[in-house]
Amino acid sequence: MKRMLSRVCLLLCTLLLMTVFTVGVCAQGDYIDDQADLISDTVEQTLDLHAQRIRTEYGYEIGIVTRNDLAGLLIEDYADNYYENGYYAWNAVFLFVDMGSRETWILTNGDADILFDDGDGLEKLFDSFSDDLRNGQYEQAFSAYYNEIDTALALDRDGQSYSDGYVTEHETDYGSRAPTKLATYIAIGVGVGLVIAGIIFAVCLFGMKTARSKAAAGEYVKPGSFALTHSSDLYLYTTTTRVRIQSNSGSSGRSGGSRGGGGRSF
Amino acid sequence: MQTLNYKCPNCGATLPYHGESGQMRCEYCDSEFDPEALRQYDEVLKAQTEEPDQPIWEEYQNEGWQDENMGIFVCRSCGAEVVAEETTAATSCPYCGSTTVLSSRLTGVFKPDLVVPFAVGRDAAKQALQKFCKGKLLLSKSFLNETVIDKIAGMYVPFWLYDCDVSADINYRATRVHSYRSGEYQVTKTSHYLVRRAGDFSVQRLPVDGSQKMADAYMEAIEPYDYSKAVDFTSTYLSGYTADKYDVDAEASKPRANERITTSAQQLLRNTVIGYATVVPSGQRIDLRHGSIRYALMPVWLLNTTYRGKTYTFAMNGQTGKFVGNLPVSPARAVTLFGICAVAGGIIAALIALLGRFM
Ligand SMILES: [Zn+2]
Ligand SMILES: [Zn+2]
Repeated sequence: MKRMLSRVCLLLCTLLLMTVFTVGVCAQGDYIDDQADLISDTVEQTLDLHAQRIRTEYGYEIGIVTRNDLAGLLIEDYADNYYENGYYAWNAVFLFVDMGSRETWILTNGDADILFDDGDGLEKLFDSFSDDLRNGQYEQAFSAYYNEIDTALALDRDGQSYSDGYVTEHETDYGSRAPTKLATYIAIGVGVGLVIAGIIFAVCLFGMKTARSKAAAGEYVKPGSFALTHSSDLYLYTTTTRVRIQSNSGSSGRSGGSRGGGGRSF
Repeated sequence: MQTLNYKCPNCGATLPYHGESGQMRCEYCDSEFDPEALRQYDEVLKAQTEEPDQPIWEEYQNEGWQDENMGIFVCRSCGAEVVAEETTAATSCPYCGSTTVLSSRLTGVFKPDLVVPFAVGRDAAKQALQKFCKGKLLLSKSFLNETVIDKIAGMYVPFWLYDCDVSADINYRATRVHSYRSGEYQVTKTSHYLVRRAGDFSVQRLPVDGSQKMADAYMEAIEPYDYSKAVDFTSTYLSGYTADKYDVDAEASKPRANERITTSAQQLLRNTVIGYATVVPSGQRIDLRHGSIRYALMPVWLLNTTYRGKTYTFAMNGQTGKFVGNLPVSPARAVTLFGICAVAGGIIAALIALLGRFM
C-alpha cells in the first residue's frame, strides 16, 4: 500500500514537472507561428523579442499565426482552438492571418478582451496594420501590430483608454452610411426627447395631486426596535443557458466576458 | 435513513430519494441538488406552513365624554356630526359650509385620550394655498385669481392610534446571474437561492382617521404629527374650533392599521436581502401582538374652494403646516409642456450624440 502511494506521488511529480517544462518552453518565446512564410527568420526573431518584452512588462502574450489553409474551419473557430490548445497566458492577443481566404482575426482573452473589445479598440488596432497587410508589406504590418499593442498597454497602465472616441476609417469612408447615421441621431433625439418629456410631465403631475395614501407605517416604527431574529441564504441549484452569438460579417467587436475577438478581410 | 420524498425546488415534481450518496437529479427538469440543501429547503418551507395568528388588538375602552358646555351639531345638509362648544354662535358645517345645524347634548361619545393642539393659524392656511399653487407648470394661471375660498375650518379630526409588537418571517426565492462568453456562445448561469428573514419591531402611535367624512388619503398625506407635543385631552383645547365626532370606531379602523404595518414589515425585511439579481417573496407570516389603541384629536385646517363651478378641497396639518390637495390639470398647459420638453430634450440628445461622434 505504501509503495503504491509513493508510485502515485512520483507519477504526479513527473506530470507536474512536464507541465512546468512545457509552459517554460513556451514562455521563452515562439509567439510567431509563420507557417505561411510571410516574413524572414530574422524579422521573426526581432518581433519575438518585442513580444517577450511586452510579456515581461505587462504580462500579456502577443502572438501572430499565419496559415495558407485552415482545413475548412472558420477563422474564429481556428483561433479559439489554437489558443485553447497552446499553453498561453490568460491575458493574450493573437493575430491570425489566413492567406487562403485572405481573412484576419484577432483573438483577445482575459483583460485584453476589455482593453480592445470595448468601443472601437479592435477597429483601431486593425486600422494600424491593415493597409500594409493588403499591400503585402508583412514586416511593416506585423511591427505596426506590435507597436500598436505596446501603445495600448502603456495607455491602459496610465489609466487612459485606448479606444475612446476612435472613429474607424470604415465609418468615415463609406459616404452611403451617412444618411443611416442621421436617421439614427433623429431616432435617438425623438426617443430621448419623449422619455425626458415623460419624466418631467410625471414629476409635474405628481406635484398636482398630493393627497395620497401612505402604503407603509415606516414613520411609526419605534427607532432602533427592528432586530433580525433569523437570517439564512440557502443555495438550491443552478440553471445554465447557452445562446449562440450571431457573428457579423466584416468586423465585429464584443465586450464583457473573458474571450473576444474580431475579424476583417484584406 | 430518511424515506422522505422531497419536492423539486425548480419544478415542484417529487424527487425520488435513491439513497446513494452524491447529487440528486430531478427527472423532469434535469436540475441537480445537494441532498443537504434539499433537507434544509424542506425545513424552511415547513416552518412557515402554519397560518399566522389573528392580529391581537385590545378592545378600546374609555370613559364617556361628559361636558355640559359641549354639544353635538348635526348638519342638515350633509349629515356631518361635529362636537363644539354649545355657546358657539351659528356653528356652520366644516365640510359643506351649511349653517343649518341641529344641536343636541353630548352623549355616547368616548372622551379622547390625547390632543395635539393647533400650532398654525387660519392666515397660514390661506398663505399655504397661495404657495402650493406657485410654480405648478400644469396649473392654469387663472386658478389663483378666480378661485373663491368658500370656507377655512379649523377642525380636530379623530384618530385611532395603534401600538403593537410585530414578528415577521418571510421567505424569498432569489437568484444570482453570471453571464460570460465562451467561444461562440453567451453562457448565462442562474443560481437559485431560498432566502429566509425573520425580525421583530415595534410600532408606536400609527394613526388611522376615524372620520368617514374626512378622506383617508388627505389625512394620511398630512402625516406625520409631532407626538412629543401631544397633551392629555381637556375640552378647553376645543375653544374656537370644532371636533369631528368619530363615525368609524377603533374596531373598524384596525384593517387599515394591519395593512400599513404589514407593508412596513415587508419593507424592513426586504431591505436586508441584498446581493441578488432578483428577489421574489414566496411566503410570509406576520404576527401582531400586544396591540393597544388610543383615541386622539389632531388639528387640521380644511379649505373648501370653488373654481369655475367645481369644488376643490385642501387640507393642512394644523401642527406642522404640511399642505396637501389635488389641483386641476390644464389640458392646454399639459400639451404645451409635453411638447416643449420633448422637442428640447430631443434636440439636446441628438446634439450630444452628434458631438460625441466628432470628439
Ligand atoms: Zn424539477
Ligand atoms: Zn355639512
